[in-house]
Amino acid sequence: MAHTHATRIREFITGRHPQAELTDTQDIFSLGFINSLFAMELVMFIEKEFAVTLPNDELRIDNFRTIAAMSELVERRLAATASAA
Amino acid sequence: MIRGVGADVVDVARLSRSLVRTPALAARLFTPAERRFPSGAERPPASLAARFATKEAVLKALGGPLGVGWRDIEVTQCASGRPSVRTHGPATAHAARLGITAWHVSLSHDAGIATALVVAEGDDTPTRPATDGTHGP
Repeated sequence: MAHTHATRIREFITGRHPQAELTDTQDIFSLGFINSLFAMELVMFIEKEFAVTLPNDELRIDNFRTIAAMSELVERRLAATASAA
Repeated sequence: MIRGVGADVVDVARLSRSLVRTPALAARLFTPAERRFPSGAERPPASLAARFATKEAVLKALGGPLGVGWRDIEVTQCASGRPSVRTHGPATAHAARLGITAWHVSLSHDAGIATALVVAEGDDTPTRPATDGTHGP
């Protein structure tokens, strides 16, 4: 499942930045094309695409540094949503 | 004493497209007061972009995204039109930890780009608590 999440996140990033060739563990902030607006779009994409809410305490840079970290974040939030239901 | 400096630039058209594409976004990024002028009129995209840039500049002055939400940083406006910053929740806690007691803000937008520069000021005691989360003139 996390693999599917990673694929969708990668597609979103490369859709905006076709030049990006990303592995799951690559630090996307080191690539130079991430700015504050794109970071916000990334948060909103994750919330919308995976039907999760990202509370403020999850808005930490390490949660968005790599595709793998974002996939884990999605898994964590989906689990939290399921347990609350 | 200067405790931190932050700057940010935002493409106005890009933010505007995001706001249209995701209707819930405005409420996620901005408080109701931020979305309107003191007169009650809705702020145009350039004005909202400058406010978003301010929030990001404040985050940089605080040392980066540390579990602080966009609405935890509120851009206010005094009667003269001068912008300032009011922090809430975790943003207030981070500011207090850094000894920040005042925020100085300068905003501009031209040629489709909104810019914000913020300077965080504090006294010589880095752990002075912020009483009500209000900083600035």
